[in-house]
Amino acid sequence: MVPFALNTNRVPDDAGGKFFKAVLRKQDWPQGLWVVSPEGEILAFHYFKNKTGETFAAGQQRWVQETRAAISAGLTAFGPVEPRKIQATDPLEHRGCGCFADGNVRLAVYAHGMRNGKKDGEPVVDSAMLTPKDWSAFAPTDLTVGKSWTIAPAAVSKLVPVLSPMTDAIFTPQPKDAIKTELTAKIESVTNGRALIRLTGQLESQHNRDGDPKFPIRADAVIEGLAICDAKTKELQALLLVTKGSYSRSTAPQATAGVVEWRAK
Amino acid sequence: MPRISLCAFGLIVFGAAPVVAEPPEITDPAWQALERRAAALRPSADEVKWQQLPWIVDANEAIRLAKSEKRPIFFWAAGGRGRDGLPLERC
Repeated sequence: MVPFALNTNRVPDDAGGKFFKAVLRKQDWPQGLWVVSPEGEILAFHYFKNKTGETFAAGQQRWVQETRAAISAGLTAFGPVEPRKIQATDPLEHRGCGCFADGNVRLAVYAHGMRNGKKDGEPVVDSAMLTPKDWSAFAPTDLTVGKSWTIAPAAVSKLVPVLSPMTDAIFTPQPKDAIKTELTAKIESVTNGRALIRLTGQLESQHNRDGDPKFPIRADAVIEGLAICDAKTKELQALLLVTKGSYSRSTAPQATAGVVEWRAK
Repeated sequence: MPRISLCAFGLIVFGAAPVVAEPPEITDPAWQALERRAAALRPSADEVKWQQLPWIVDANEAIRLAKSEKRPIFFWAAGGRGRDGLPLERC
């Protein structure tokens, strides 16, 4: 099969978009997994729904079983196909590595709920998109050891995805929801043509789920990090931030931790 | 949308992607100490096996490939409520 991923709220208004909109209309359901023929016929569909009284582990096991069954059903309905001989794709271009042609940078973000110091629940995989102006705030202008500067709040606010341990975006703050964006950089050392920069700060956000004040969500974290830049060009070569925080919605605050990272190559 | 592991199936049904090269090592002790903390927080390889599938994110390209290869499309849809992103990340 050809694996294709789509954000149903960002369906392009072209022939391809219309093809998949028609699939969604036929199923009358906005998300899930389908097996679809190249002509648009739905051969199989699966969307996981919780069952009352089912444990988390049992639900996860059923999810996998049902998904496999749907894939098998779809393949059977389509008929025999040969195994694919394909090249790798890069669907999340420049995630955590390098820069886009326009200078934008996509930092890789991971977040997790924590319990007793250990990861708890599902991991969150996300990105933080920085403009060239945002990104320039991390680069030093003066490499004197001990020299410090404040990272622009607009750039720091882009890091808020790391605050949420939820895989569903409705539970996740956006940059506009940031209420504390403190991040300080300091040149720690300059050796072997590289400057080591220490980053420390705090990030905090507040938003309402789907904009409804009945469902407030607050999250915060302390940030500890390092960056490395080329001492000659002053261009960043690597960035690594680790966060430790808490996430509160209707239930008791949950401990969280996260990682934000990027490499030039 | 939560994730599930499909790869036991996927590497056969969809084709396997090659392993990505590791970035050059940074040997500074402070960096390595921070890297150890980060390593404990990143998802395990098992938790993100779905990333190994050769995902297409262009609708027209997915249809073109399916037609030319004479095979079905495995269509993963998620999102809504005006959110950015792809199902391959949080959306």
